[in-house]
Amino acid sequence: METKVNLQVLTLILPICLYSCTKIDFEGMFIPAESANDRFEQSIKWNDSHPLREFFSAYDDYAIISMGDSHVGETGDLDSFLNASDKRKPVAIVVAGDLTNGLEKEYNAFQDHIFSHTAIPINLIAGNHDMNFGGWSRFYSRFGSSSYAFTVKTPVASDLFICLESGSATLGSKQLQWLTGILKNNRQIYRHCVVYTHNNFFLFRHVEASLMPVEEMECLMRLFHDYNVEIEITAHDHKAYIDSIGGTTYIVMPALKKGPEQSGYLELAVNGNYIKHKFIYL
Amino acid sequence: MEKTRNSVKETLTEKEGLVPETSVSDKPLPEIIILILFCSCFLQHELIAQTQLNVCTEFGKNNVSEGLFVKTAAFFQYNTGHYNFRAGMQLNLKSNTPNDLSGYSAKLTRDLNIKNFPLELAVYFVNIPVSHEFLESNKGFITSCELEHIYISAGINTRTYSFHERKSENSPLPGKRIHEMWTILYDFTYSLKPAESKWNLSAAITDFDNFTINQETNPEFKIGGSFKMKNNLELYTESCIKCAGAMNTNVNFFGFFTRTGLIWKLK
Repeated sequence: METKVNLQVLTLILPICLYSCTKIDFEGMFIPAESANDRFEQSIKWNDSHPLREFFSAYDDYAIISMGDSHVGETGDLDSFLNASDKRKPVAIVVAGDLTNGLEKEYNAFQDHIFSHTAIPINLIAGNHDMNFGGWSRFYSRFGSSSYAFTVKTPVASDLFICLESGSATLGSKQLQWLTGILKNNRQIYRHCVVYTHNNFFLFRHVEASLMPVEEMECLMRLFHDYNVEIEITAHDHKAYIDSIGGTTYIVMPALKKGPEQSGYLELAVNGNYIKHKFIYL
Repeated sequence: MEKTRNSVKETLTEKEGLVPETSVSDKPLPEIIILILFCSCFLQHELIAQTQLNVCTEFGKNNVSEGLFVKTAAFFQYNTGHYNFRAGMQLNLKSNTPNDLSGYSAKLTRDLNIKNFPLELAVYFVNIPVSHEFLESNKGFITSCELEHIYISAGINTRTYSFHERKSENSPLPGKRIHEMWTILYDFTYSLKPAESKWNLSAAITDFDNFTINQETNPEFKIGGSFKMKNNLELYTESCIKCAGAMNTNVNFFGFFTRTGLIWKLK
């Protein structure tokens, strides 16, 4: 009898505890606030009403600095990253998702912090944690699109950087169609092509964070090979890895966050026909 | 363009130990030939062993299929004593992928009975030609238990992607192979009636299918039904819904498929 009562109490208390948990959005595991296609349509709408992102470099060698998984609560490592970026003077910064854990106060902290600390253009992508607790609307209202391309023009050539939203471990059919269109129609115009997503492609170590379904990952592998995407940069796993197949180098960035793994970020140094990458640890 | 590819290679070689091994020997063709020869050896003993043929067709749609896909597959199964060998092959009938052959597999199972508890142990490989250049190779082991209404499987899978250079191009590309970390396989099926029943209905949650093996955090939900038309002929159908990102805390619908097939128990 006592066991039965305890079970009933547990059955009642457990959903309340899970629902009120501010770290993990359990509801989002089963019921999405919006689909990947919905988010992509909003991003495209935003792109249509804003100018194309074009950056210029006076020299043919330049740097792009990327980071991900800051999960802002504390901003210590973010400060170190921004200070280091200001010294390096990259053409642009890319933040590849998981800026926050989706909460309003975290979005406010991130927004206040990052834009007041640097004048370098910042390109943001939403990650899965940014969408927790209906977080996409907070991301979109502050930063706009999460699916876009930007170019870097040098006196010699132009390079293409494509940022994709993969917070639900899928690009969605519409974003995939858009990506295919860009690569098919525009890839040959550009010298280098680099793609950013939040979600990882390969399971370099055993983690419970979802990768894309294998069919989607393989579709992207084919696409990247066919259109000579040289580098694919992801975050999500929190641990740095590099591997290469079919002409594409797949890079997983370390998290810019104190944790079991060392906090760090990635520097891409473009020097003419060469792209060098370097992990920088804080 | 080639210059660019070479440049990435050069950059990577600067990082010792990060570049994957570049020699490739696992071409799909010899494995198919070995598989066919192996199956044909068993066919010669058809009269003295239990054999089974499973032919099925599936259609479905997902975020990357660009419309409907249609596939067909055949599995040959041979039982002798406590051992069971199964080999299968799948073809694309309608697909946006470039190749006709979409998978081939082999599985060797040993039946065990531990204190009247039925258990199966199996080793397998599943190869999936992703395109003319990429091959997905899976290897693993799996243990299963079939009770009156419940079927449970659990196992471990490892995956390797290999890249085969096109013969027409004479340009070495960096990176020939990527080895992935192991994933856990699971299948939990509940059937309405015992397995020997004339008809049955079932529901399952799993992360693998005949020629698709996903990470454990990308589950598939299946419902199915079967009908024994004759003692040696069974018609079955199953439908599956796939989702992406369930454990990402932001789930999204990925796709579905429906499969119909016939299992023919040969003498």
